Amino acid sequence: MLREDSGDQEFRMVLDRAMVELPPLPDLVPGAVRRGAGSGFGPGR
Amino acid sequence: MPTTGRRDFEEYARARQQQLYRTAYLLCGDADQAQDLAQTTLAKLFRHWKRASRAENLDAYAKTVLSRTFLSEQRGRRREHAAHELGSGAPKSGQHPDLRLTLLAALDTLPPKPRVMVILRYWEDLSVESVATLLRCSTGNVKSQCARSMAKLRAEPGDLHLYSTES
Repeated sequence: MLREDSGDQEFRMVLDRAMVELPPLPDLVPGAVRRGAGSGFGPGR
Repeated sequence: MPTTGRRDFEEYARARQQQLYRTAYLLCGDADQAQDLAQTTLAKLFRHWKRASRAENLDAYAKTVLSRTFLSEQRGRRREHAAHELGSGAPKSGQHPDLRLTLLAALDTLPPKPRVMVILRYWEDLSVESVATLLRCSTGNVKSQCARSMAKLRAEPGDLHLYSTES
């Protein structure tokens, strides 16, 4: 468990260490453009 | 959308998608769900790019969309977290897999809104005021919820502190 006296900074360090290397992320942009454009609202409105 | 607007969106989205995904991962606790949440966020940004691109702080706008989308999805979903789901997208050796699983399991004990507050406050390093604005609640609410959540995380038996001083 986290030490209470170590405070918020320790938790930030835990978060950073846990998230150092996530699995590779595919490019989400083309899918986002398709989904955004196909939403029925139309982009930019 | 004009070509330049689309190009601006794509440039912004490519620069920010990794960070959005990481935040989404901490919120969802699952790689596939996080990818979907990040993409939904980007799709909403694209749909409203004209307005979004005029925002005073576009990153804050994107975080707002991400957080509210997560909370909205949580309202209609009874979350099921089998142990193997926490391990989805399993890290390779040397990537602190135990820490990540321990952290996600601890975060999973928090209700959705306090979890969002904790992630925005301690992962995204937003101020109490910014979190309150983003989630449309009072600063007192953010402070009390974060304090309660941190107390709960400290009481979790996952030995998270062991990793914070690990070399």
